[in-house]
Amino acid sequence: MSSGAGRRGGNCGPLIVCMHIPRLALRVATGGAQELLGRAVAIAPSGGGAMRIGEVSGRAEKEGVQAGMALGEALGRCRDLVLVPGDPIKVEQAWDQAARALEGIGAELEMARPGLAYFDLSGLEGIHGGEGEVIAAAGKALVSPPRIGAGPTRFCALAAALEARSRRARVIRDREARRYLASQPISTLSYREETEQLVPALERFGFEQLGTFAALGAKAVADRFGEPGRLARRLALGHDTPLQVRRVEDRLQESMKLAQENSGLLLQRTLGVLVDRLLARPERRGRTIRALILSAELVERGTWREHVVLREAMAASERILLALSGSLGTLPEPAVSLGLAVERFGPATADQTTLLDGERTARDRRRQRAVSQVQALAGPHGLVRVLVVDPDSVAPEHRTITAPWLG
Amino acid sequence: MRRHLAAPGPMNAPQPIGVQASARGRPIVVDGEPVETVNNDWLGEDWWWREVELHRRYYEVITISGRRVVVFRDLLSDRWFSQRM
Repeated sequence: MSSGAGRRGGNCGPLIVCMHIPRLALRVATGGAQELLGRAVAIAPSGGGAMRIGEVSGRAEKEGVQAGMALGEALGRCRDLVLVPGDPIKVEQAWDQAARALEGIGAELEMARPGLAYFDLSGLEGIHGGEGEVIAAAGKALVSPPRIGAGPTRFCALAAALEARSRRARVIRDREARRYLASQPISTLSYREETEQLVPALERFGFEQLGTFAALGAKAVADRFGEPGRLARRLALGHDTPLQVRRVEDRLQESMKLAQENSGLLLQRTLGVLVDRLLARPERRGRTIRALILSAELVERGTWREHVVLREAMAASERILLALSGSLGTLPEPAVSLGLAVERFGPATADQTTLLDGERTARDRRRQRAVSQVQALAGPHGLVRVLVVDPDSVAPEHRTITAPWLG
Repeated sequence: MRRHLAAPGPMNAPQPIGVQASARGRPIVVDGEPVETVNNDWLGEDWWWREVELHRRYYEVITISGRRVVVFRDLLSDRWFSQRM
């Protein structure tokens, strides 16, 4: 096994690079606070669902506290545990910034989760001069020093990154991957969404290394652990699925300060305005929306973030609002601002007309033409609609607002 | 010529206005016009959870020309504004 990154020979398969920034969410949440260095720290439960803590510091881990543990159990194991509110929005921003920096060196990224990304090194060597140069460029592109691992598969690269030191990449060659993976801890599977649920059970059964688990045999694993088990075994044997690289798209987002107390009605109306504003953005270029990110800045320190995938790509504000309304109900505490961003676009809107109601369609078309003419004359905000968002507000300027007219 | 209007946002934003007030803080001259009578006054307080809270003393006044104006003093900045009500 080699520890450094050199120049590859001609007959090599793909080399996947894993970029891992450990405890990114915790770093962002603490904001680099000096007084928390060396202390047992964990991200407080986000509320709404089960009271489970988020990422934990190394000191907390030594005390037996683990990410995802129930709050009561974590405090029982470590009385000095300091809880800090999570800030998923800032984490997302920091991670997006890191991803763009990596894409700047030409890498096509698969974003596994904040702090964990993969790219295929093939094709980049020509740009940077060699395998070692690509890895060095990737390391330099990030502000936070990453752990870098490389291997013939995504899972092998991950295992290498988890073992790598902060400024030295760990590279596993194709021929040694299987033997290397066999010696890796079973907890490596917890970094993969499809197999993380297996880890507690496998540890209870006494499996410590991936090799002993893989030696069970395909039928026995499938019988006892189902599809996740089958995948885990394949990963342990050095097989993996192809990378799913993200498409670089315009990031459209809108946000709004909430002026008054957060009644359901006000939130709903504010969300309606955000949806309208998003749909009115010219950068959308007529495309439908497939997935959105709903976020909020909370009254107490911290933020909240919810990922909403629409059942089908759409551009109808009422339907999008309906789909988002359920998520709004899970807001853990009052918010001071609400944000909405497009995560993924769908195809451009088709000009669908009804089969029978010809007169209405014609009327709608005439109205749309009139709207277009006004907007062409007076600009995109020349025609607005007035929305009553909070009729009882003490501040009259927050009772009604104007929103784009969507035709 | 293409004309651009203001971007969508809040309506009825407070407008700064010149007000002379008595020693007790009641408006006596609004926008250069003496005040005939103060019809009503009330306190608007809210946003206690935000960095900048809302503390306003509103006055509904009738000027000598018969104009009805609603003004308020922002108790944090000590500035006067008019607002439609």
